[in-house]
Amino acid sequence: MSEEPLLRLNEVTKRHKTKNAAGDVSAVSGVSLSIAPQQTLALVGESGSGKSTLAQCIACLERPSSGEIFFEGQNIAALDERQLRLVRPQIQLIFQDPANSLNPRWTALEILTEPLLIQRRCAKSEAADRARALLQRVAIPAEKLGQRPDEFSGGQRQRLAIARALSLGPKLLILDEALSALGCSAQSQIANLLMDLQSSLGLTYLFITHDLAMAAHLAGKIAVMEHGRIAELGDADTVLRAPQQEITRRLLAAVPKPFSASQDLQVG
Amino acid sequence: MTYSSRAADSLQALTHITFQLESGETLGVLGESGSGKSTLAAALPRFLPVNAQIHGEVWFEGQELVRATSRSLQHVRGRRLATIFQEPLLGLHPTLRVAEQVSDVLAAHASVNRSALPEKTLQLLSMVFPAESERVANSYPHELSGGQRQRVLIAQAIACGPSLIIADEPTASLDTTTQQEILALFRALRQELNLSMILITHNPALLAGFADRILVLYAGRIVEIGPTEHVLNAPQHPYTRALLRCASALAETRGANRRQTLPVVPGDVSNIPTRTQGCRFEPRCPDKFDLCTKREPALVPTSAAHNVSCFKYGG
Amino acid sequence: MRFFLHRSMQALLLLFGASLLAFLFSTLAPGNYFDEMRLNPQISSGTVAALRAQHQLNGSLPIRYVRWMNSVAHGEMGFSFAYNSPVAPLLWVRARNTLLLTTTATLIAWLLALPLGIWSATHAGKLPDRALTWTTAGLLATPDLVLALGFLILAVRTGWFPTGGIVSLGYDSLSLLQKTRDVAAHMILPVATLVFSALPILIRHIRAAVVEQLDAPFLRVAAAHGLSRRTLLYRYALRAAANPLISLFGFSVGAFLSGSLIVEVVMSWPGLGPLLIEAILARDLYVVIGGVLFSTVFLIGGNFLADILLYWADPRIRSGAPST
Repeated sequence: MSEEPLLRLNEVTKRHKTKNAAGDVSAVSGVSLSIAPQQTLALVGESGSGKSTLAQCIACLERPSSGEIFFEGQNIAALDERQLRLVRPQIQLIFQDPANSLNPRWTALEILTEPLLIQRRCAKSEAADRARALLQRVAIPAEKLGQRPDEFSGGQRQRLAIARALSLGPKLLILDEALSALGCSAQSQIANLLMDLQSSLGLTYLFITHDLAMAAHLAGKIAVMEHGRIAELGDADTVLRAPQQEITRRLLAAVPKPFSASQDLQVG
Repeated sequence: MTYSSRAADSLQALTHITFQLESGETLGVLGESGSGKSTLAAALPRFLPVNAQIHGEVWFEGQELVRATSRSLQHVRGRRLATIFQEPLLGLHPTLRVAEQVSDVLAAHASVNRSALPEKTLQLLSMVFPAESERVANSYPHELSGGQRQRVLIAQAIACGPSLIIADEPTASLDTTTQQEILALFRALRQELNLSMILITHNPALLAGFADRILVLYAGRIVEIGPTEHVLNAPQHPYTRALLRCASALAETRGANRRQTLPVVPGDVSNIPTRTQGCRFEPRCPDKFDLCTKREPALVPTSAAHNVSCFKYGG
Repeated sequence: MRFFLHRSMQALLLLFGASLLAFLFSTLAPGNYFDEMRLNPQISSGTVAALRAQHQLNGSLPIRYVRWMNSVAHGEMGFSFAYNSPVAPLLWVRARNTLLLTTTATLIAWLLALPLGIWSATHAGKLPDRALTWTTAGLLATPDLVLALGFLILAVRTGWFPTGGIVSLGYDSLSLLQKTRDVAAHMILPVATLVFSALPILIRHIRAAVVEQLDAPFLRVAAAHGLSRRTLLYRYALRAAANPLISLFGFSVGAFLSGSLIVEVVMSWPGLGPLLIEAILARDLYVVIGGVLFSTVFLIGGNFLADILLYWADPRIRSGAPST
């Protein structure tokens, strides 16, 4: 690959000061990885492994304690707030729980037009049209524009969140356990949508999950994280067929086996 | 011990639900969000909000629950019938220690006298925490991880030796390795304590090798019910077929279909409530025909103990 | 332990800052005690000047502050021009009376508000709850002053209650028991005023806090385990509601203090209130500063107590985890 990676992390570390014993807030230490443009990297790990913290750092919501994050060649970890404003629209984050990331009092129209208006991308009159186009992109019927999130199904809410993320024309989409709270069908629908968007809009994905199966479907490269460090990193095929680390093997073993195979399965 | 119910509430969240559960049996209820599965979990021990109504009967250990008084319900809940809800992160009291919360359940049903409480509590906790039961007993919930909190909730559920446990998405917010651990724990406890279980989930993979029978719920109705192997290997209702196709596609990690379009159940659940006539699944069904918009199919047996609600098989 | 030290340091710093501000504002306010004298033609300006020098009102601001601090360290807290005595002894007596009033009022108000608030929460939306809400709304809208005056009128018209002061004539000749009863009788109206003016706020907050916990997931889970309603309410809901309620307690201390100022003046209760007002009007500088400082001590003390209680009651604060 002679292309410049879209995102490159170099020894990124994040320390948290906490008196907590059970480790639900974990640090990130010495993480280095890179994602080529229009590729998908899956970051897999158990809860507490530091994946969400890392996502927050990359999305510029937190600053790493040390290390560099190069986005399109620029170290965004070292930018000040004013400079960051220009970068933020290009990196969007989608969370696990759409109920918490979508304002329950706003209609879909308001949710979609807010980023456009804040970043002054278009006039107010145009905004509604843009919103409609976005909804269409994510296969939500247009009549839902005036409804509130609680009138959407789980899968639709998450697609609304994706539509909102797309409104600013990002290059990198970070999906932090975005599918984990959904049922099988909704997960598949969104996975298909993501693949479609990637080819039509040229998006790059950082897909964070604890589910190795979904990671396998979407990603070209897989990074396995444990205790804040990258335990294993490589092409998806390699990692899945020949896992090197114990943690990877454990994650692989936890994936439910296809159940149409036999009746005497021992799961777990 | 048999257990049957037929329930519907004011928003029509569930309709014509009838099933039976034998002692020691595990029933898996398969349904996605919007299918009414959580309403079912709440309806059985009568935890519905005040504006909900239940029609029909729920017979549990010879007692009818829909018309029971709250006093008698309180005796049943926790002692004979335990429920595990969906959010382990919020299910424990924030400022009481774990040991106290487990003791409270024991004390509530007067099954143990006061001096023996601490010992029994520790014993109970060591059933779910083979290694660190003492440390956990003295901890507060916010010091524990999601999986650990779920184990505490399970300990509370089995505390008074119930005969039935209803678990509503017990592994939904946990990561895959923890999910497997919790399932293994359920298996062990089920064996040891001879429990009957109703496990509600949206993930069919959890039910394989775990449940004896599966009940598939869609839009508040039973679409299919039968022995696990039959339902999983030879699903008959179009919804079940589509759902299982989705789920098994997701479970492939080494297959060649990576990065290809995944099968889905087309459309969305939220379009449903407005329809009053005809099969609820009809708008999304690949096999529909005229009759499907006219009336609802009844549950008909297609083989021993396997019932389907679809016009393809009669009804 | 670190928490305790941290809070104590905070409290001391606050006190110091408050004293500085009080001193600053009071001295910078136009006019001083001796202006009154100057208007009196019988006193020569020379005498006035001499008096001013004697009371050291002529130094620069920082020097006067230091001198005042020095006086505080000696337990005098400055000198009252009007009373011609050190400030501290004056304040102690008055402060004791105010403390008596506010402590009693706080206790009674909370003892009444807790059961009412809880009862209201358990019957939320139904008739008794709504009746209580309307009543508290009415009380809330009534200014303290109106309440105080209303009670006074009641006392005068019916003669059931003493109409002011802290003791009756002939107090000194009473036995200890009779003395106590006498003071208590005089306390009824001022305490009643304070309690009634604070009650609506307390009840509403308590109700809101309990209602919020009654809807919480962990309560549903506990109910699923068959815990009795009493256990659910007192051991679970109330304990979880303790966090906001303890903070409310800290706040209520401050509210009672400021409320007591007016009530004391209206009911002629010899507390800090009347003294402060007198002193402000007469520009009796050091009394004003001292009075303000005493009030601040009570306020900071009350909140400090609330902080310690919170630390003890909520393990999440002890370990620094988020507690929402």
